[in-house]
Amino acid sequence: MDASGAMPQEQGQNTFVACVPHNRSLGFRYVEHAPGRMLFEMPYRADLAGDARTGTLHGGVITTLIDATSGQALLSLLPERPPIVTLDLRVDFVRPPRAGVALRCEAHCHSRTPQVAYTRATVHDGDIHDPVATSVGTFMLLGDGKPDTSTSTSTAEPGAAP
Amino acid sequence: MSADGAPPRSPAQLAALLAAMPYARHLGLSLQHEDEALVLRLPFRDDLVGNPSLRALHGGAMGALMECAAVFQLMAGADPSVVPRPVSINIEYLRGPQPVDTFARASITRRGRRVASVRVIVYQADPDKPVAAASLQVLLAVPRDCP
Repeated sequence: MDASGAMPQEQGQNTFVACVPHNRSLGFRYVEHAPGRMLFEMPYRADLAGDARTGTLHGGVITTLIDATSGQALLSLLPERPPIVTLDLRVDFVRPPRAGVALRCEAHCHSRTPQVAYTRATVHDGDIHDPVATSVGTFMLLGDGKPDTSTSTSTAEPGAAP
Repeated sequence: MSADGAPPRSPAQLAALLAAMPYARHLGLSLQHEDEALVLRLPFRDDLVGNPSLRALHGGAMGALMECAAVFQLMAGADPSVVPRPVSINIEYLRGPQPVDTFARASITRRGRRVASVRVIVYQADPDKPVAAASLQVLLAVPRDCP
């Protein structure tokens, strides 16, 4: 990844991870970003395993890491950080991750319209050419791209809270 | 189903499997049996929030709930040698979730010998107003087939 957009780790952590309670709770770490691209890491934790015998992380943790990284890849393009919601997310679980090893998720928001954005993401445990999971996502941008989103409720319908 | 006709797992065996899964314990998942269907319950907690301004449940936590619901629905109807492994999940987020307990119910579209297709619905107060839905393809691996 082009590191030109990277922030000091603490600033990136505060901007892209710490604002979301569940991302913080699973121990996600900001690594670096460039406009439209985001790299998160998740240190291994045995209490997030799907199989206690093998210690392999649960697929749901991978889905959560992908949703979080993909959403923040989009938000890295939007300095005003409007509310966004995931419309759909597809995850292909290519192989089980190795137990005891940190996961990295690299996400890219490759296309965007005023209301909808499209992402791709890859999760690996050391070699991005030997992925653990790959994903495509679609996100809805709530609001109209301007700082004041209070008048744009019509665009909020598909995924917004009632 | 196994060639030797071993009986499917009992509700108690399924509950024990869920209790033995570290991530399911972390989420606080519990199994309920309603009208012969399995319902998986995810109790709301503040550390599951994905959108702090809406206090909405994280989309990934809903994905995890749906994956567990699919796997347990498949295990409920199979003999204990079958260990379902998700190949893919395709999630649609339908409504903004509220900060309340969340439930998932899975139905098996097709169970083949090697792979099953499962549809899962996630709801909160009203089962007729799903907050998310997913379809999964799941490998039905038997451990002796795996090196």
